[in-house]
Amino acid sequence: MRLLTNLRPNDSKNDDLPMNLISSKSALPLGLGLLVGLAVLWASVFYAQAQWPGTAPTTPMAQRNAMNLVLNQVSWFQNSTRTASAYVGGGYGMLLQQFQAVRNQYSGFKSTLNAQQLSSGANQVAELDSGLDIIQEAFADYQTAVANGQSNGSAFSNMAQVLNQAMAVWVQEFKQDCSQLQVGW
Amino acid sequence: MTIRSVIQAGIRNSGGPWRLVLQAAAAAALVGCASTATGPKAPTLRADFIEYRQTVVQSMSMMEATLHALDEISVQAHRDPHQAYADFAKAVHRIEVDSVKVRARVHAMRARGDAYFEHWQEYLGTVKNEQVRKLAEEHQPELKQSFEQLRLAATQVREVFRPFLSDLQKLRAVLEADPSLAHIDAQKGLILAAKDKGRQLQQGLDRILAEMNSITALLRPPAAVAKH
Repeated sequence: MRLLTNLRPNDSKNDDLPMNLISSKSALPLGLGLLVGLAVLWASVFYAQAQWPGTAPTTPMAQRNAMNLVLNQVSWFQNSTRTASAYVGGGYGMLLQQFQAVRNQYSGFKSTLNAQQLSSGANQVAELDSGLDIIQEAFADYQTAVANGQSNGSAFSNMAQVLNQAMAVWVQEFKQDCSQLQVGW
Repeated sequence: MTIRSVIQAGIRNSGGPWRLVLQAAAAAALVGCASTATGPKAPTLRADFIEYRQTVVQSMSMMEATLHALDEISVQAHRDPHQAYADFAKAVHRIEVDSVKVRARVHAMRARGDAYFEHWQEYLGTVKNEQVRKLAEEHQPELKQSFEQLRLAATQVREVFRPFLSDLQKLRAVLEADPSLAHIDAQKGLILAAKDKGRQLQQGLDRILAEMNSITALLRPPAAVAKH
């Protein structure tokens, strides 16, 4: 759009001058306008590539939204760990599903971080990643415990408590890291 | 007229103290621009260190408590080991939860490799305290060596932790139904194996703490050393 408006003779400040003067005096601005227009066009194409569908935007608003989604999902997950034993079939599958949802939301959150945040917070992000991997081990531990002779009720109750408390530790780190990396600022 | 031209005109036209004030203001603005305080920041090395050290010390006391609870099962086996078992099960639960932080750290160190410590070293190069920056430059070889030792100790902790925890969890599962002398005696091998791994883990944590203390000592300015 800018390219076209720059070429419009009506936009020129010299439109009260005679035609021959316009042609000679506006040659330079026209050339500059063309260059500026091309630069704007190139920039818009570049921006469009940077915002390709599938890559999450890294605006402060998007970061805040993604952070809140993680916090909400963790909260739901922790509630589920308290009520899961009442579910038909023990609630193991439901907890696993909820945990995967936390991972997915966290993955979405990471994709909203900008390059500077990812660079300065690389260690913290790696620790949060590892934290989730470690917490996930509780699911396998439950199955091993049952295989080793522990009662299903006791093993499940232990798993649910470990998941709940370990997730509380993780989310505390998550909040602290978000604050240090100025997420959503 | 742009703001810059107004300032330039002011500088040209003003003589004496005004000129100095404007120059000082410009210099202050430049210094402000050079600082990195506005960007997202990782925790300072000091804050990171204090927290990490605290986590390691907590893990050491957690290990102490767990190994003591494990010992008590054997000690109480010929009396009534039910209470000892209950305490042991609680200790295992605590270690399952409270170890998450330290394990996440050592796992991240492995996942990021040298980059984890390069991050710390980069920070040392940009630290505002000139004395600390100077000390970091002077002791670069020693710091590098300490980071390497820290990495090795973290690897030891990471490799032993999971098998240690698995032994404890197995013992908890096996003894749950009947923590009697016969059952405990049958698990003697598992108890000894868990103790052995526990000691390796303690050694690893000791090494991490020792290296962290060395790094802290290297970077402590002389005035702070004298105070201590």
